[in-house]
Amino acid sequence: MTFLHKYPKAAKVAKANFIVAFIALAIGGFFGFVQALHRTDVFRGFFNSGEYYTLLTGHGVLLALIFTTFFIAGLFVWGVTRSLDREPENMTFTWSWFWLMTIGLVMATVAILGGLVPDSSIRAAVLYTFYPPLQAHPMFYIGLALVVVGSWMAGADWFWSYRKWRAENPNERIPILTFMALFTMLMWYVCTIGLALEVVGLLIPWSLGLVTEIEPLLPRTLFWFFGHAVVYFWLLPAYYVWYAILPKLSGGRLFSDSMTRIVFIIFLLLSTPVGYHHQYADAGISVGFKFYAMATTLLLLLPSLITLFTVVASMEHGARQRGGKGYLKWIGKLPWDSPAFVGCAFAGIMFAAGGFSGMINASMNINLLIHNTLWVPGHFHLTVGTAVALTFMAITYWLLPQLTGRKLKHKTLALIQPYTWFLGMTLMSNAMHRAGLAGVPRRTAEPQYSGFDFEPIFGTMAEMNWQIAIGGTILTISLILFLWVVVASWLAGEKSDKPVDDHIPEPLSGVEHTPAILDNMKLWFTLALILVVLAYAFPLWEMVADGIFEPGALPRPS
Amino acid sequence: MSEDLSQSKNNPDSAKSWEERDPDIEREITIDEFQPYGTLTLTLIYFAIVVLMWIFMYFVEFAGNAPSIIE
Amino acid sequence: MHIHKFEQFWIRLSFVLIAFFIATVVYGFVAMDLKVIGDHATIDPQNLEETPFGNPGVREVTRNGQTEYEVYVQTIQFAFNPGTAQPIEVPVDTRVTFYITSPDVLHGFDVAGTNLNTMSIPGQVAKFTTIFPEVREYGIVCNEYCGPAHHVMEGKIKVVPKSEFDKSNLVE
Repeated sequence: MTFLHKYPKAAKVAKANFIVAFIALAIGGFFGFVQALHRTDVFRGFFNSGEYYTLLTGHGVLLALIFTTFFIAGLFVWGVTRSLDREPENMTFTWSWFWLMTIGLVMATVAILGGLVPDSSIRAAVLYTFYPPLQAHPMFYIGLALVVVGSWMAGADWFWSYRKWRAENPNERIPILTFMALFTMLMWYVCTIGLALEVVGLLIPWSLGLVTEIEPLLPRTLFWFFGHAVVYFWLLPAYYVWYAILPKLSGGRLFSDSMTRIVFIIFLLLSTPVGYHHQYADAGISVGFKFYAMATTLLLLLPSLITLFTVVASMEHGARQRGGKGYLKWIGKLPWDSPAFVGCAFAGIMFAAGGFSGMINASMNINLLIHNTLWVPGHFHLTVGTAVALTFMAITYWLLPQLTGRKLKHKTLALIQPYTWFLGMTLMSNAMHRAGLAGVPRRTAEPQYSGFDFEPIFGTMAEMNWQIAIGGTILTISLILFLWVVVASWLAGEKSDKPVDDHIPEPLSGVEHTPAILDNMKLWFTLALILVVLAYAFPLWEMVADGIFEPGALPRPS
Repeated sequence: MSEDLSQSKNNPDSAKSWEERDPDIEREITIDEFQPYGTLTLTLIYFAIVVLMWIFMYFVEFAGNAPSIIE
Repeated sequence: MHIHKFEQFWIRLSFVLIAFFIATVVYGFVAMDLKVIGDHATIDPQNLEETPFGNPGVREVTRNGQTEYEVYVQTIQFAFNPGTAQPIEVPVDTRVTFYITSPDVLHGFDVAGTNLNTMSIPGQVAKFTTIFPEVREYGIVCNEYCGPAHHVMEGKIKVVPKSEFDKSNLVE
């Protein structure tokens, strides 16, 4: 008996979400390959430089918003169903959020890809941050809004299951797999307030022509109200895997249940009131608020540093149970031949490196050294592009057999895949960071200028361009390997009652040591809202006091 | 036969712990005997790297990158 | 609650790291003149003509008995005005204050290879002061996506010796 046999309805929902996620991954990944060759001037034959921005929008939206959201939905359906031991309460409701998100995703994608049709009026080359006054087709904004509303309903679905479970189990502690999912969704509810205000309150009426003018700073600020917490919405499900599943894959047990819960609570509290750290270079926001955002952002290092310790200690526990010895020699005893383990471990190593560039990004004045340079995508290809994406791919090797009742095929290819991803990302990301230090801008089709040359401090521009192009190519090969293993296993894997060892052992320091207050969702949710009000009420009021759409700028085609 | 202990339910069918059933595991290490020296070593190495790189990035790369915004 | 003594130590160390980062940022800000821009002024992006931005360029001003320069720059799709058609010329070792805004969409104003890096947002005036320490040319890059020809948007700053600074190009 595995998940499929115990919870067939939930398995079907999770699989549907994974199918959408992997299609988005395939298309968005291909766009990334084209970009890596285009901006480095290795090959520009696929599309012209104007169309580059349509591809870039597609890459950002399909990977950062669609692949993540659908994968997360599938993962949480699995975790909540399994740990509460109950199927979703009402399948009509469950399927309705899935289809709502899918309709929204199709609308947004059609609007974006319309930009590749000559003279199309349906365009959305506004990148995934869609700053006005560049204007996309209304279908783009409405589609994104539907995806978000669908994700809210998905969260409601899991809270519904939880409430039913709670009524039957009044004295139980919240199972850790449900706890982490619900706290991630609470954070999602807090931060998407900003996005909803921006998209529904400002951008949809403006793109439909109901209002003509828009104040650019206000939607930009509302976007970043949402825009930093969204990176934790991607990251926390990766932490979910690292806390709940990776210890077992390492041969050990989670080091501490309480630290896990504390980490998720800190993310709920601090993820949103930090958005200004994306606006250190903006006029119109006072230095005081930028400083407040920096202090809260750096405090957010704490839960990630705790995660570093707790997760590595859990892995060390596994290595020692497998016979590991010494201060560092135990690392060799970890299961380096297990695709799921290797992917998660490499994702964690890359995250430690990306964490450092994130500390630079977060720190107000030094941010100006790298603001909007290629350093920034260098950073987030380590975090969301590896810590999150590689974790999701790796854990698919372990989850898919549970959802399909089929064993994984092509285990060797599956094992090569995380190693190639690690290699490709090492090449691409180090070069992006160094190019950014030389001032090479991000989001630019042809970062080669006629009037001056960049003067890199480390290496040469030519060498960096080759590392980016070759790294991007290796990443594309790795992605093809992943998709091949998934499709082959899904369609032709050997059917089995127990296709994978899906048992998750209890933590070393279990829930019996965890203070009950950590499970008080109302308390933590209220505190999170208060912190957001403290950070945003006054500056937002300043921006709207002179009129919501003033000082107004006219829309420009994208 | 798989069971799900993630809900703190005891399964009467399995007298053996997960570690005893897993052939790759040599012996079970309890919370009282587990001292994560390796983790402490790794995290201290990370700490040192981060502090040194930060000092380099801030005082050499950034402060030496004039002109800067002075007001 | 059961927290292993190593982990307790690591958490204390994490707080030390966070405090150290904040301390360096504050030290740089206060003692090393490494500032960020703040809130200066709003402006109507559709009526820049009636403001100093209507006559963009370098102006000479006297502040505290010192000769300083002010540069008003409009960032437009897909040029810096001034900066693209003709370089922005300023003297070395002199205080120069930039005022930057946009009449159309968001742009970036990044002096490549330096710490001068700001957003240009319609409706907001970005203001910062700097001193160019050496005689040389700098490239200006638009580093925020601004439309289909974003990649051609570039400009130049020419820093000249004080003795060679040509005041005939100043605007009133």
